[in-house]
Amino acid sequence: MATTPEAFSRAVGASMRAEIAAAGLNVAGVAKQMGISRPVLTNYIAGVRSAPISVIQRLAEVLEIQPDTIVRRAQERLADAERQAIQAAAADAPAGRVIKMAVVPELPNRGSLPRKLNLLVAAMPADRRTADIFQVVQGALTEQGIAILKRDWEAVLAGESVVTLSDEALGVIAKLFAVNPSYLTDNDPNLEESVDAKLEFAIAMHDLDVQEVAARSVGGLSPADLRELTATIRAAVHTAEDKRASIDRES
Amino acid sequence: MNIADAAVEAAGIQPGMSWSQLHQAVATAFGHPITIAPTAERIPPTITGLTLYKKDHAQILFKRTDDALYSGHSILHEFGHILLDSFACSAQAGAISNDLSNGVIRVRTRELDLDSMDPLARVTEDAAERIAFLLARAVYGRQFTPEEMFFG
Repeated sequence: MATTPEAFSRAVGASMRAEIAAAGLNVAGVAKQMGISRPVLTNYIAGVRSAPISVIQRLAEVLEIQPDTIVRRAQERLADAERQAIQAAAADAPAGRVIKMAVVPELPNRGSLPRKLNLLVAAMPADRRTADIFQVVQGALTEQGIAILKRDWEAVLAGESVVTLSDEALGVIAKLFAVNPSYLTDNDPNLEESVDAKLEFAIAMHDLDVQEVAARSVGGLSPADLRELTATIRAAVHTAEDKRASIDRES
Repeated sequence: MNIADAAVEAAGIQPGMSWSQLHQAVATAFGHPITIAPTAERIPPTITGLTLYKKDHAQILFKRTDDALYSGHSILHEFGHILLDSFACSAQAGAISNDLSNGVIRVRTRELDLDSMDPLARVTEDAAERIAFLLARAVYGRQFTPEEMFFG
């Protein structure tokens, strides 16, 4: 759902009002400290006019907070509003069609989730990575009646979210990326080591433009073996490329 | 004629070829250059041969520390898979390890534990091994003149 400039201005205004109230001040007093008239500040707060950066910065100085706090909380307001809209739409959904939100309040065992999700995204093949990865994830979740906002997805990836993804949403994402769901929902060190090594191998092969690897093996590969193999392949490909470049220069 | 023999014949592999000629013939059948290189790094002990397929060439890696005879056989076996793929598009017949691939890269592991191989992979593996034998005969086998064939 795209945010209109008007909606963003209203969210910033609401955030300004909330921060003023949180500081125990009133609009008239703050306007005076900012050196602007009360009606002007009221217009910004009401979202009638878009607050310029200079106004946000001055307000932040008066309230002794960081300017980005106001903008970030405005974004959180917008996300909350969108989630509420989705939940309202869910109430009107046809019988049997359940719509749930992908995000839930912070859960235990989610500390390494941003790193794992970023590994999965990086391991996507180039032809699938050209598409907007969020759209791919959103499509898979929507099929299962789970809604997700782009800003929530990006915040979870960046490790900046105050919410996290539900077990159910992670199950869908795990299926999409063909990994064991427990890799995303739990903190099993053995499973993490194993899947991390495989994903790092796949990422390395993408980096090296290796489309396929055929290996004769007389037994299984441990994560340590796979990491060693990854390093070996990297070195071999780089050596071959250096040689070809040298031959090209000589010819 | 089985698929291994047919793949070798289609590639124009002739008895008495040198390694260089064989290498060129396999690359011609493949349609792209094939580089063969010893690895400076250590390959895990469970890996006995490795081929990397890139968009415009393939790279066969063998262990620098392996005996020359063993390395030679590993390379001929990899040639076998390349010829099979080129001849019969048998890439699909390779054992694709879903576990290793994660759907993110096409990875074929040729597991030599025959009990765990799927039947199709075993057929491909057997064919590649037969090609390795045929290629070894082409480059290493004693060559007879037509007269010697009969009279020694």
